Amino acid sequence: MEAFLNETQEKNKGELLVDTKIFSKDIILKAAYNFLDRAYFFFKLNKDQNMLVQITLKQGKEMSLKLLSKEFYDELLSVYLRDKLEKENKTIRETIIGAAINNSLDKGWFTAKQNTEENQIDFDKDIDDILKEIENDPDLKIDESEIENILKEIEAESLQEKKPILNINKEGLEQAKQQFNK
Amino acid sequence: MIQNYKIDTSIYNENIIIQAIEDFKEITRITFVNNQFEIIWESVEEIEEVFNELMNYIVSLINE
Repeated sequence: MEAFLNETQEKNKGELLVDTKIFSKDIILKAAYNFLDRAYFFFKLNKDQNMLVQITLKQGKEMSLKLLSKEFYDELLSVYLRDKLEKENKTIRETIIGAAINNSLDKGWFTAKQNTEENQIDFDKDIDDILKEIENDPDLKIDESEIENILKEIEAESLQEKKPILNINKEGLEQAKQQFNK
Repeated sequence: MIQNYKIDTSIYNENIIIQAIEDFKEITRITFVNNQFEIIWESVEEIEEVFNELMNYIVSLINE
């Protein structure tokens, strides 16, 4: 069996070979980032374009290089899985965030100002002011008879709309009566 | 003392390398020419220490 992760060690320095077909460059760098407090990392690609990871233990860290290497393997897998889940759930996450943002925009505090009592009073005041201005306008000539005619027309139209229209089908009615008598 | 270190720029982004050199300029003089770091310091051990810190700093810049 060929190991996909090879390692060589000397004193506080070791080298791991990571297959970049399995773990991408970004995954390896992210895994290393989580170990920066414990070791120094240096990367280069070999002739097969796989990643050589040189690890140098920091002074004062009571940890063997072998143990650190094993933890680094675990971290590689962990970062890989987290990245995979993040990509798979991207659409779901975006949908949830989108829905949350849309719902928050529908909340009352975004529209309540239009319905407050204060606004209503202001609105009424504006109407009163306008009416007063119209009444006091010396150039304004109100033709009372014209207004009366318009009102009558409106009333007549509204009465016509209210009248129900009945279309009686006499033959159908007769047939229904005969059916009932049978 | 002067030490040179060859860097694979397909792994380390050049813009980030430039930023790291800028951030390290108050510590020591580092240049980057032909994909190589040139570090000047008092001893080889100390240069290696600076290089290790520099490379870790670059990894953190890549991930942040």
